[in-house]
Amino acid sequence: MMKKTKIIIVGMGGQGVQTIAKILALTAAQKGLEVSYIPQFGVEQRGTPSVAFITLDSKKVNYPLFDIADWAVVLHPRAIAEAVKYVDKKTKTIFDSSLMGVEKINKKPVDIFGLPAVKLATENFSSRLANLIVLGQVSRILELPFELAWKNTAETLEKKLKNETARKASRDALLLGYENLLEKKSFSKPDYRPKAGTIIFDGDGKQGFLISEHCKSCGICVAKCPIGAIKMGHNTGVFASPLPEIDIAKCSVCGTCSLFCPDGAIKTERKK
Amino acid sequence: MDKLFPKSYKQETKPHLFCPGCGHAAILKQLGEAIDELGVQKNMALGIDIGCSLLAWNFFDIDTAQTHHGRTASVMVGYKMARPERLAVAYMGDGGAYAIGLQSLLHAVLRNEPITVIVVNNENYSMTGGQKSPTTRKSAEGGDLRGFKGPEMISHLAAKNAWVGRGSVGNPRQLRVLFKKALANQMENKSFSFLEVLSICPVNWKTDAAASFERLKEMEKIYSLGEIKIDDEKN
Ligand SMILES: Cc1ncc(C[n+]2csc(CCOP(=O)(O)OP(=O)(O)O)c2C)c(N)n1
Ligand code: SF4
Repeated sequence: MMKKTKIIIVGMGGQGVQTIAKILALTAAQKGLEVSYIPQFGVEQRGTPSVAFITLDSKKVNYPLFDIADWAVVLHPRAIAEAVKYVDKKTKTIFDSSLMGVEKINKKPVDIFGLPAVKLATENFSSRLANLIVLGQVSRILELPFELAWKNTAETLEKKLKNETARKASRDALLLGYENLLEKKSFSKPDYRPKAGTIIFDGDGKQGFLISEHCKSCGICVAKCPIGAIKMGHNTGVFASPLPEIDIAKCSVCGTCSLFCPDGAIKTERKK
Repeated sequence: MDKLFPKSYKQETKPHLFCPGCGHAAILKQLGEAIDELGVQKNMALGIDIGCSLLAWNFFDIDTAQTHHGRTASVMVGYKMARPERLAVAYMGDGGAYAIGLQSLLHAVLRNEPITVIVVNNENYSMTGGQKSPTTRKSAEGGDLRGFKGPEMISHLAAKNAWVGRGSVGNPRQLRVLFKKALANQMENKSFSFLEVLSICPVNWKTDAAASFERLKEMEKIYSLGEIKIDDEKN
């Protein structure tokens, strides 16, 4: 028998909040639990807060909404406001301690845990996989079997996991989260700072500029560069996603990246 | 560093609200460049629809009005009647233009209203989550690939001195030239101008950057790009 468990997950659109929620809901249902999952996000779908409400119970879930969550998962400092309404002292709270300090969560729950998901993902794989680390962690907390969670992850993300490397990295990220032991520390400062300002790539009489506050990591510059001089790097931008890097020695300053970039975030030029 | 944005952008609203890789943002960038090159920023109004186009409500440093779904062409016709000396541009999605707002569009064409209509064809209803729209190709999984050819249809209805064309985010330089023609026609010929732009929607298509542009290539094979000749025999 499982006690009724109410979970709220908040983050910024594009971070994978709804992916986490969907896979959790599927896995819990396959384990035989009654599940309700309600997604809530703005019309933009990306870049604004995204919220998932999940209720798990061994009895039928009659009403899907709730006032106070048993677990709150906070993936981005800009989405905290969405969670606080549903958090009280007893809500066990997990937050991405790589992106925010604990003081950002204003109503202090007693049990608050830092999970540096973006940092772990960036150091081990790519920041894109931070959501799978969180999914792994929450799956263990809810006592969902790892292999079942992985099966649903692989099926849900099938299109993105066509090549073996991507598949393996995703499984490893999920496992890293699953095996991570939650700690209670002071977590007073974020231990990972997104890149801010303009990143300059300099060399060979050429310069490349990347405005990290504008780049949304769409990858168009990477796909469009005719000589493959741009790839996704290890820096994380303000949208908690990887920023492209220009191999300036290779760059022919053709201007294709800035022509196609929808966000005016990249530019290359010859030094004057 | 040289400029990153067109001059007509409202700089303080960037990063803008569009999703990563959004075709709308790439299209508005070329529209902005065309507006800069023609020097019409202070002499025009932009009408935007319901749909992802509404995320451009503070995109430009240009008078902007947001309308009901599919009514952007009609609203801009009214604007033009009141302010004939200014450029009136209606910017909308394919759902707004070809489904709920088709009648508004057709009457603007038939009456040869001197406005410029821009329709962004991303083959779905993006804002509401990627549902099928009139432009969703039938049986996109294979077989018959019929799509909705808006510009061709309009070229059969439009007046002799109207201007019709189609561009693509896959060809930004050509797109900028087409924007300039579509805007110049309104000023010079005082007649209707229509530009459809083939676009990408990585979020709802669930494609990465490379796969989005591959799908766009398929669209470019079905729909011809450039100026589309007016068939004026019946007019
Ligand atoms: C009268 C009315 N009907 C339906 C809707 C719901 N609605 C909001 S956005 C949208 C889809 C817009 O799609 P499209 O015009 O293709 O633009 P896109 O988002 O793809 O750029 C719909 C149907 C509405 N807001 N108003
Ligand atoms: S095209 Fe622009 S927004 Fe997209 S990844 Fe490259 S720099 Fe970032």
